[in-house]
Amino acid sequence: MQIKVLYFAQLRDLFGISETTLRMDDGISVGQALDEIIKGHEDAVDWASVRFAVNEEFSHKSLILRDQDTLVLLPPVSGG
Amino acid sequence: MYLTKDSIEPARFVSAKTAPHCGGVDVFFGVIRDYNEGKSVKELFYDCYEPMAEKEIAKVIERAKSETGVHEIRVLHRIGRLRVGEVAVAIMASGAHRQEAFAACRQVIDEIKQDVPIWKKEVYEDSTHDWVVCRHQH
Repeated sequence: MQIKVLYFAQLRDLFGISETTLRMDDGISVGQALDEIIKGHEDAVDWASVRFAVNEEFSHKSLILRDQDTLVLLPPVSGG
Repeated sequence: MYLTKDSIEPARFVSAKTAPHCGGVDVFFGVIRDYNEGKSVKELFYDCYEPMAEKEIAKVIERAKSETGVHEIRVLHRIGRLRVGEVAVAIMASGAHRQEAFAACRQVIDEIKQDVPIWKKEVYEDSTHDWVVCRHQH
């Protein structure tokens, strides 16, 4: 399956891109996708502080992704 | 629409009439400050995941209305590049009495800072920059 991944703020700076499309095995969770995405950047960010959204809704790591989902990695927000 | 790339003009924001049964109207403006954590701030850049931010602000408003009982809440959040002195966020809550208007306004700004996917980058006078991570309830 294919998923779209969007990056914002410091994560856009870290990865050097705003978005990418990734091929993943069917049935993987958000947490498993994250493990793939952050390879090589494990120590660059406090990943425990990063939240996730799937298709514009907050999501947990255990959520199973589906084909064409949009996954967003959300560093700690700072609006206002 | 709760997000704007245009300047937020305070007089225009508060000019809309409130309902006749609203006797308490509280307004909050968040304004770009010229310093943070000992550094001189030149300008800010607000990054935003716009479709989700619009939805989350709507949820924040509905939650605050339900929990405080105010009649109406208006929110406008600026995104993009802002200079010192410009308004970053404007909130107006109107209800029958002042207590619920104050409470709603405070709840909305606190939850925006906690849950809405907007990120602030400070650009300093020495041309360095940092993505802000809010550790305080300022």
